[in-house]
Amino acid sequence: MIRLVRWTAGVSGLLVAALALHVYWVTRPGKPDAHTLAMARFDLPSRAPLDSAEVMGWFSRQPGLTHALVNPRTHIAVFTYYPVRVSADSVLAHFNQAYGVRASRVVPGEEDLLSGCPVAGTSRTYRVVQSIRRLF
Amino acid sequence: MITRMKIRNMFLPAVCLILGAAWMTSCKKDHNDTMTATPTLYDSLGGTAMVSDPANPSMKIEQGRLGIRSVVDSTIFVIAADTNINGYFKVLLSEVTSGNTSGFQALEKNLTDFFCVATGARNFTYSGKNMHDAHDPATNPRMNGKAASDDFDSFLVDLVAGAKKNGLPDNLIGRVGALVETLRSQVVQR
Repeated sequence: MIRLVRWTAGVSGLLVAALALHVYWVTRPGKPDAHTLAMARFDLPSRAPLDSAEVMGWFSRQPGLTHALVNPRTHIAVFTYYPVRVSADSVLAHFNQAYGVRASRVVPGEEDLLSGCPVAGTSRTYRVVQSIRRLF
Repeated sequence: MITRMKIRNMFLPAVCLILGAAWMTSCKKDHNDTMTATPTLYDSLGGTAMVSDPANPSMKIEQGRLGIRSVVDSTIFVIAADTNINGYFKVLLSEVTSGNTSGFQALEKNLTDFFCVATGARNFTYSGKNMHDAHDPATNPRMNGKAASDDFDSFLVDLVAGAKKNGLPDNLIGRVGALVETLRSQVVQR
C-alpha cells in the first residue's frame, strides 16, 4: 500500500514538473519575430520649437515604423515599430541628428513593469505562468 | 368497445390540436424574437461580418472586433503620450513580455477582448480580472495606487480622442462613453 502511494506521488510529481517545464517553455520571453510590434516613447526637449505635424511626418517616413503620435502639450512622441527591422535606439539617434536636439527614450525598468496597467496580465493563467517562471 | 371507439375518435383531433398549438407557438416565438432582438453595440460597430484584416491581409476578422481594435490602438497611443495617466501603462513600452509578444500587443489584445465582450460580442472572452479587482491594489499588485476620478476622466477623454481618430460617429462614441461610464464606480476607488 505504501509503495503504491509513493509510486503515485512520484508519477504525479513528475507529471507536474513536466507540465511546468512545458508551460515555461512555450511562454518564455523569446526573440521578436516578423509580426512582433513594439511601442517606444521619446521625450522631446520642451524648449525645442518642434512642429508636431512635421515630426509625425518624419516618423511616418522612417522604415520599420507603423504609426506615430506626437503630443505637443506633453512633448511626448510615441510610435510602434517592428523590432526585427529597426531598433528604437537607432530611430532615436536619427531623430536627434535630423532635428539637432537631445530627445530621450523612455525605457521602463523591471520595477516599473510590475506596477500599473490594470488590464494586462491579471488573469489566473498569467499568475500561474509567472509563478512557474519564478521557479526556473 | 364503445369506449375504445370513443378514445380512437378523440385521439386524432387531440393530436391535431397539440401539433397545431405547437406550430402556432413556434411561429409566435420566431415572430417575437424578430420583434424584440435589438442590435447590441457590437452589432452597431460592425458585428460578426467577416472582413479582411488590414494588419494581416491573409486573415479574416469580425468587423466589430476590427472597429474596436482600431479604436483601442488609437486610444493606446493617446494614453501613452498623456502624462495624466501614462504612468499606469508603462508595460506598453516593454519590448517582449511572453513568447514573442510585446507589452503593446498584449495590452491591445486584452483591451480589445474586454471591449468586445462588454459591447455584446459572443465569440470572444475576456480572461482578466473584473474591473473592481483589477483596479484595487489589494487584489491586483500591479496597480500601484487607487485610481482617482480625474484619472478616469482622462481615460474617457483619451478614449473619445481615439474613437474620433477612427471616424466613429458621435452617436456610437456616446454609446461607448456611456458604457465605459458605468464602470466608473468600479474603477475609481478613492
